[in-house]
Amino acid sequence: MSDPTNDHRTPVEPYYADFPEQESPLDHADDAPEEDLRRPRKLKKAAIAGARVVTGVLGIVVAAGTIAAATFLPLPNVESSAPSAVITPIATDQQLVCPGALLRLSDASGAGASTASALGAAGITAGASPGSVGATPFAATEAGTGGTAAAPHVLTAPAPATADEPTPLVSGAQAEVAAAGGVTGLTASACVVATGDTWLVGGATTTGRTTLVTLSNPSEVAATVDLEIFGEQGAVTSPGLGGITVQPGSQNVLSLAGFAPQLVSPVVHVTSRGGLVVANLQQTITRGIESGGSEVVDASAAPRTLNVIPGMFISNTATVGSRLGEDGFEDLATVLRMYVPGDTDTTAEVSVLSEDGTTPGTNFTIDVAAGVVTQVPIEELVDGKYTVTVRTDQPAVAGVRLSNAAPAEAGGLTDFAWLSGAAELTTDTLLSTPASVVNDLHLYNSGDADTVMTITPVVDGVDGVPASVTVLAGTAATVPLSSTSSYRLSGFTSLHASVSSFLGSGIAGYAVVPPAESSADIRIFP
Amino acid sequence: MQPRVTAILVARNGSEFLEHTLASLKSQTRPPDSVVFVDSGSSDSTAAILAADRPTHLVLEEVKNSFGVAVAHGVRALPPAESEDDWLWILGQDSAPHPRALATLLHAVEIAPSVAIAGPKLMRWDRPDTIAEYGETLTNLGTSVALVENELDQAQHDVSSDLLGVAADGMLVRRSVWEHLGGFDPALPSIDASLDFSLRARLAGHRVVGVPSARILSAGGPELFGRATISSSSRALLRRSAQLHRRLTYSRRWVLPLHWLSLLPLALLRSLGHLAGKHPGSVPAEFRAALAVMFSRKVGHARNNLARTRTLGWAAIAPLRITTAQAREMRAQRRETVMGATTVPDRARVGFFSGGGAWAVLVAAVIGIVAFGPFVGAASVSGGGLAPLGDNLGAIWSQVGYGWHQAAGGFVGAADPFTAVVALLASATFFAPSLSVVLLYLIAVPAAAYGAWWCAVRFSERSWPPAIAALLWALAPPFLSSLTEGHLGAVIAHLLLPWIVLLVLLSARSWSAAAGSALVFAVIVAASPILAPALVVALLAWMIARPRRIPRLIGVFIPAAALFAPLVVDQIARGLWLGWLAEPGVPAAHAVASGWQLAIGAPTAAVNGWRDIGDVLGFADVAGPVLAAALLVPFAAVAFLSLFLHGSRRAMPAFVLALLGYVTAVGATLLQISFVGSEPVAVWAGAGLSLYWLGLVGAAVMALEALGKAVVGPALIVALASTLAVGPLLAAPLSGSASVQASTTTSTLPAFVAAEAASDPLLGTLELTPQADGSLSATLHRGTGTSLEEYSTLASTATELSPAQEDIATVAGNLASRSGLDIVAELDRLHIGFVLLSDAPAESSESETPAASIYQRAAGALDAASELTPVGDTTRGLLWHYQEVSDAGIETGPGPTETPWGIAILIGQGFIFFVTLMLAIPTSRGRGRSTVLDSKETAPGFDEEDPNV
Repeated sequence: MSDPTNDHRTPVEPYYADFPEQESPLDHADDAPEEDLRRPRKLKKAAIAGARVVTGVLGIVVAAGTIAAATFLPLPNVESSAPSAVITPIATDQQLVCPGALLRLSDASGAGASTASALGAAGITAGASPGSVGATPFAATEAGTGGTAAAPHVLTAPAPATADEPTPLVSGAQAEVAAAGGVTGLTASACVVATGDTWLVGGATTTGRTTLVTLSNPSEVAATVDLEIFGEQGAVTSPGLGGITVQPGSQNVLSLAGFAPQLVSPVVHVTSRGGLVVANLQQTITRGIESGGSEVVDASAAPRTLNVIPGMFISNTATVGSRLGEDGFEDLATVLRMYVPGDTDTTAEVSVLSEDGTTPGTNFTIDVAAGVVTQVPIEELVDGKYTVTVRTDQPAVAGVRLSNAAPAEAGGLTDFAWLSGAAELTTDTLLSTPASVVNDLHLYNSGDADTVMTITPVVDGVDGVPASVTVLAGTAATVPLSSTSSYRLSGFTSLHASVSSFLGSGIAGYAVVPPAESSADIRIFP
Repeated sequence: MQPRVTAILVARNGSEFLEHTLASLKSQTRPPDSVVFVDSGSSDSTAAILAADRPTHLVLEEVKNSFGVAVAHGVRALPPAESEDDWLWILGQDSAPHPRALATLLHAVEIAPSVAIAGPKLMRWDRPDTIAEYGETLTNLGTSVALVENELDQAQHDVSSDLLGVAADGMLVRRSVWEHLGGFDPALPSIDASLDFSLRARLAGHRVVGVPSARILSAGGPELFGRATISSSSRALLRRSAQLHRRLTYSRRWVLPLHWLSLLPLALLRSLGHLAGKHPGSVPAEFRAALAVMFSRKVGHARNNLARTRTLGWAAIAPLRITTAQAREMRAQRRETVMGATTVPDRARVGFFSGGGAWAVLVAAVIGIVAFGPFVGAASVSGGGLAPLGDNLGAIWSQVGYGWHQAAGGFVGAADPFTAVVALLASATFFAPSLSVVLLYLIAVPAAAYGAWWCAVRFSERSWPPAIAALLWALAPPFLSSLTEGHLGAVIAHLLLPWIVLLVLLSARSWSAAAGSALVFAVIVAASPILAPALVVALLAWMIARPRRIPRLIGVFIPAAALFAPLVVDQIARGLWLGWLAEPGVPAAHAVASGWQLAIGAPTAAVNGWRDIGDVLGFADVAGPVLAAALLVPFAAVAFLSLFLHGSRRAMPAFVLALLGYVTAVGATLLQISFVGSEPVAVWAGAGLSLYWLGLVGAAVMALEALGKAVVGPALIVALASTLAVGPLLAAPLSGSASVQASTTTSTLPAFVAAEAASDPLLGTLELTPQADGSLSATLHRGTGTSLEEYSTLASTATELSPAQEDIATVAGNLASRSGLDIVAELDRLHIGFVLLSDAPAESSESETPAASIYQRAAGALDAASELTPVGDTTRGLLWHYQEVSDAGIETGPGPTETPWGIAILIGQGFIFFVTLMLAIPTSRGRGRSTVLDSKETAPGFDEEDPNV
């Protein structure tokens, strides 16, 4: 009864005649008579072979077709976009650091060569839009200037009272006319936000050239600073380059010659961990007993493939040219200094573009080896204002040194200035001009479209009368500025800008820095 | 006095049998005195045939009654009995008695007046030399047992004996007893009706004997009355209903409630037994029988009837019963007889050790150990799509099911089915869960070879093809790419793909294999959801091509569906219809391969490492990939050769698989729905390519098989070239160019964090990674880092931010900025002790890219935060420590067993997997053999094919 099969139900012929001895018909199931199928079999074989060839060819065609379709057909993606949030950081006080007065490595009597002291004090201009800025001197510096007018200053713009109010734009600039300790010349620099990564293009440690590195730490934590110094022979190795501790609210002063004497063309890379610092170079030149001027070198834009150095103002070319031949006056020449980090050599396309379009510029191409500083003279320029652009395949930093020499009848003083690669401005930007000097704003439009910029003077947080400046694509422009004021640049999409200052034979300049990115909106993908 | 015999022949739709039955009835040496034919609602010519035979009485029933009822109607048509020697001879339409059957039966009852029932020996209709059934009895637990069944008649039972019961067919019963006992119990429509009747006759003081010399051909038991076939589940229902009915009828009154209460629990227990015994069809019958008997009114009637007629105690029949042990022994003997008699020898297949399988696995093992040698002794493997597993097995299992997940700031939702696979894997080395992945890496290559060999040997009768298939499969480029890129799901899928082919083929004759293939399918799909569409299409196509497989295979999708249902519902609720196809594990960015790169088995644009080889050797970008393709040409040629050779029809399913796999791989590269930071990441194409490779290897096996003796040359060339083609992949772990790296710790975060997190497993580490577009991705890890089981595709495919993620974004955005936010409060609230700034992308570290500037900005802002102590540069980037993080705990959500939904899902999934597992555990002793009945299905490989094509 539990037989699981039903097969034996198939009605078959019963076999009674001989009931027990009968054979099962199943015994014969396999005895199908052999048929002679030779001829049909041949045909069948041919048919089978044909069918195989057809299926085989078909298979190959399908496979090839599928792979070709997958390779060449534009197939639609099923793609969604990652969720993100744009975070506006809670507004906080903004801080800029002005690097402070020119220093020298000795006191007024010339003694104490290991101790820095201030030559004078820098005048500071600061502005905010909207709002106001307070300036506080650093409490302690290695140069002993702590708390004095000669100290580096922290410019503080308080955060808006409510979240609805816009974060103010802040800017500051300092300028100093050196007239003590046998040092002459005009210095000017922008007050900037402390960072962890600074490139400084400028300075020299050959005879008579003094270059100091100032490290100003405005933050509340100690900064550990590492220096990398590159020269014409490549990276400089020296004890003491790493692990320099800069106490909170303090400024360290280091002599570049202590690490790298007799360096013609240094480039300094400053990185800091812990607190952030503002790093500058202060260079003074003494030719024999004659002062050759002074300069505070500001940070260059981070390595990039397009370096723009606006505001190269060439003047007194005749005097400069004549004095250039004198012994020790080689560094009156206008030079372009470049450094390519990494180990891939590149070629630089250098273009010197007249800002007013009236004077001829110059273009040249030069091979730039990676890892060593390349310095080339820019010659045959007539008096005028120029913008230098340097295009490289590899990211590079670049700076320009230019000199001025007053004719002998005007006192014969010489001065020099270092102009650094200017960062690209993409949003509204505030700049300040130093006091008591003649200032020009230099603009360069590296974009593909003409831009119309609005420039609005801001004094004590109050807007003045705006003016419009058109900068055509790929050209530069100059705008004269008054001193001791701040200006808001707006309405543009992409500009590089710098400010140049004159006072008599003294020249100086600094790049306009974009507003601190560290408090801009940021997109987060959690 | 001469006995008077009335033959009662009951028929329903029996025209095919009746001619012979009636003929043999007529040819009786001692013809019955009268003949009653009962036609029980036939729809064919039965009534006409019966009428044409001119019986004494012809009863025509309109409705279809049971056999017993039909007999009773036939008896009722008779005139009243004239004497005690009035006999009824009960016949079915398919009971063709031997000419001397009635004479012999009558002889037996005449010499023993106490005999009320005499039963003949039933012979099989199709094999008259085989006893269909002779005598029935009960075990001491009440199960009915046929004493003799399907035995070759060698006169071994030809001893006239007292029996407890005889079959209804051909039963000669005293008419007075029939009428006194009330005939067959109407509650027993077929099975056990005659046994019950005989038993009641015995209890009423009569004897029941078997008459072996009386033989009747029978074409089946009473359950087949009026139908051609009966399904095994219907038969099980009848048997079980009958047994339960009898149990309630025979039991003493005071145990009756206990029996009644035990019906359902017993049904449940027996169902488990049915599953383990591979009779899933009997499970519904079990419950239907229990429920039917529980609410049956016929039990009372039967009990009254029994009480009315019973004159003897139960002890009177005890000697005729057998013990359960005896019954079990009888069953075992019977099974052995069936097997011994009917097992057909397996096809001549090569053995694993004798046929080169062991060699292939050994070679693969050597290659695997050399390639992944650096992983020996490691505590964990991580990188690419892989992260170490959690250190606590309980915590790993708590990620399974519907509940709280830590990813993406924490959410309550369905777990990836892959989590269950990971948890299972981790359980293998419960003492160090991450070690299981290390071990998997070490054995992966030989394990792939082993599976492929066993699968290939199904399609081959020679040594070479399976051995070559094992090597090709173990050294498949997509497999090794998945290993070196850390795509654990694709690795698991690759290891299991040969097994699902094997199990699906075996499921034709094994419930174990069918359930096994359902489990393997679930694991493969859980590990690589992208394979689901292709595998479903392949299985459906196979079922359509082999409709007889549908009952066994239709359930193959159920466990996987149960596993995926919560995730699919969650994803669809978010509007992401394809979200469940996302690759589980750590989303890992990779360069997507183009169509032709996929065709040579390369899941990424790195072309299995050949692009780098080309660069290193100074070739052009193209030369390396072209060389890789050239090395695979012999393999492709052999695979396509299969279409032109003998057995090409068997190669076609292989090519269909390959095509499905390729389409899956292409689809995977187009499906970019998970994210790493801001970048969408395509689903890993390796799993689809594994399926593609499976088809190609299958085709190659067919070709090598068809090549016959000429196999050696092509086989060696294919093996050598294909091994060279994966050379760069095999060298990757040694050279360190693989994404996965061995580690002696199970933490993905810097050692400093791991040390702190040891005492505070919920301590958060906020990882900030600069993105190429100048944004920042922020990931909150807890403890020693997000472990593999904590990743969730619900998190990685989310297209909207949860409030928790917005919180994290706010904290991250302010941390990376000069900000006035009260960092301390936020870090305390989120219990974040560390901030990790991952290194900016290397190629842009020197230049003013957006990524580099955001890196500078974040580093500067974090440096300036006086609350954070810089720890310094670690292997993972810059690290800051917030030392004063408060001890206040963080809010987490409910675990998988703490919500009603979670519990319901776990119970539902657990039930389905338990049932499938019960079915899958092999219990049959005849594994690997086949019986005559199934012998049609034992042709090699894809069965039922025409060997000439």
